[in-house]
Amino acid sequence: MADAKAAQTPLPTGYKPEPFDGTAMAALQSQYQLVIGSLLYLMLGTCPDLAFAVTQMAKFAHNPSEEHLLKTRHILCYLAGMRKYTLVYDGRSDAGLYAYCDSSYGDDRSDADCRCRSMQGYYFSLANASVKWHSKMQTLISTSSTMAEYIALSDCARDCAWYKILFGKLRKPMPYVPIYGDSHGAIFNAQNPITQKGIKHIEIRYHYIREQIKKGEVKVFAVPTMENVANMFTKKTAWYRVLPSITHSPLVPTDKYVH
Amino acid sequence: MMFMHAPNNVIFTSATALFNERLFPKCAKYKVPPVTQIQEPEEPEISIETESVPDEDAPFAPPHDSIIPQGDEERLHDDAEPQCLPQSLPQQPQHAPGGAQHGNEPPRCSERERKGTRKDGNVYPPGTSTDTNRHRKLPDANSATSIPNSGQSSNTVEGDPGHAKSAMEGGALWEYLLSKAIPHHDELPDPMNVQDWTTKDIGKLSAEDQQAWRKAQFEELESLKKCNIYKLADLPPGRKAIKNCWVFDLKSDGQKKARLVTKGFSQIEGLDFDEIFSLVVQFESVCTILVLAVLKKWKIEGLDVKSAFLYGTLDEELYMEQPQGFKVPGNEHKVLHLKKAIYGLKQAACAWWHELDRSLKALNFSCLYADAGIFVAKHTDGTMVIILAYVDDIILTGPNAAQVASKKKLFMDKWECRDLGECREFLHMRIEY
Repeated sequence: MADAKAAQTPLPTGYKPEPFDGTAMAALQSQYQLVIGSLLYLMLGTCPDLAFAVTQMAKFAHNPSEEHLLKTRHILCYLAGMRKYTLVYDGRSDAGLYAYCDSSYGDDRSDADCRCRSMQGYYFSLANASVKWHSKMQTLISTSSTMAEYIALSDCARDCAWYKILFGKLRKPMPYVPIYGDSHGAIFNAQNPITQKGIKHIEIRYHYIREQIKKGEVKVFAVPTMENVANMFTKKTAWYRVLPSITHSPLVPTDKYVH
Repeated sequence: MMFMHAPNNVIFTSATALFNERLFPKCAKYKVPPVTQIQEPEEPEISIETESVPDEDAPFAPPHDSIIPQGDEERLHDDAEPQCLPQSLPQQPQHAPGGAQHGNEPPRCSERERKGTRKDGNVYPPGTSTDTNRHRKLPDANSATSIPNSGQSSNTVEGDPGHAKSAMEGGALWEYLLSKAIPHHDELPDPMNVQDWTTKDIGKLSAEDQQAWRKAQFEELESLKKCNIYKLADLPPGRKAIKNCWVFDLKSDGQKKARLVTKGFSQIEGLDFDEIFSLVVQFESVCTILVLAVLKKWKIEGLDVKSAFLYGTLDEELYMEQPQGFKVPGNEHKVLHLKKAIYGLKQAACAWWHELDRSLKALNFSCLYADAGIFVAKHTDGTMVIILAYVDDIILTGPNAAQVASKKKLFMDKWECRDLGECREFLHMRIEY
């Protein structure tokens, strides 16, 4: 796989993963789990661009088909082309901690039981460098994209709280963490504690974001979708296509990077 | 539930075993109850183990304690040799409730429901002696239980192996069993997968190679002995020794390395281990600390603790079998009493973490609430030293290089470490400057 033809995207465009109806062969299953395990480690450590694709494919680790294995090979092909991209911590920027948050709406078709849950993703940058990323299928069905984004904001706020605890011990406490989202509806609902018809059924724990905003721990801002870095954790297209107008990218090619 | 057997006044209690109640082996007057089988609905809570005739055909029954912890099936033994029971057992009154039951109800016998779960030390009533015959005639008892089609063919074997040989299907079965019992030793172990080798594979190598690997095994045992990991002891009655095996590896410089590991899966929760925890630092913490270090131009130093797991002190009393091929002559029946953790134990990582935590506390470090893998030592002048720990991989950083160096030296005095200097790699992630 080392000299494979580079693929442009982690997963083929237009590919919607479907669960396998049959029973997987043991050899195929163990090979698949081996590949997925390695990819998960890469994704957690240094490859935020793999987050969406790997979490999508890891769902089939218990019962993979040949098709799924083929698609994980596609991820490996993509990796072959991304060899020169790395996380760069250059310390040139003095920007603080920023959080970006995004979600899709009901596009996940791989769940056998209820085939319409949403993907959420968030991303933290410290001094313009990627420090944390997250891509996950939401645990409940959203009735609207606003609700999906609202849940993603709330989960993101929990990690902001964690960062505040961490930095409180390491340096002087942070005033607040800015969260960027691209859904005006969700931001409006987070900032205004009103019960609208659209979100009146949301579980209590997802109103955590409201409390955090009220306490001044986080502040929520709107950005255009094209500048929202977290967008790459809810789409299967390559991050540099999703984010054409981004000011700083999560991964930097080393050959273009000047020391 | 308890049951008392009058002649010996021995009480056996058990919570989990199930019994097929058909025969009562010991008492002649109760022998062979009517054809109608007494099939009481099995109550999961009830089980009664009775004394039985010392059966010549019964498999080896180790001497054991007659006081059996309740609810622990592993430790449940029938007694095959009632005459060697300790005499100091508490005397129970003859009119114990269990005894009354014994008098009134049809007797029970202790034939295991599931044959596959038969364990050493269980007693099989005389009626099942064909089973033991089978075990004796066939080379491998396990293969006999894993016959693919159990219907007709297994019946053939059940009767007499001689029959099985003559029958057409039985002959194929016999071949199958033989092939299961005697694996092919022809092919040499794959030199590319040294990590998958077993002790058997070593036995297939040439004499010189065997000698070299044996030397590696010996070195490992020497290093274990140097750390005072274990001591030879008798296995206390009622305990089970943890199994172990050898793991081999070929280092990149051609050095042969053998490591003795325990089979942690044979440990019993609650008895052999309590807590499991592995000290890992979160990836986002690593990234965040690295960004901080770069922002403030701190130096990042790496350390690798050598054989970290061997430092952990064990709270539990653990016994391990003697390593394969290295049994002490004359003391083959003895076991090794583990004093410190060894690779493969369930609690090895937890024991190491306790040791590391204690030693870092002595160096004025305290672990963060946000992440147990980050340790921070704050100084009065406002500077600090940060340690990131992922089991035995350590990163040190901090604003004051002299303080970091001094803490690093103190740490290395305490633990035998490999100094990686300026950290170039952490958890297989390359760090370039």
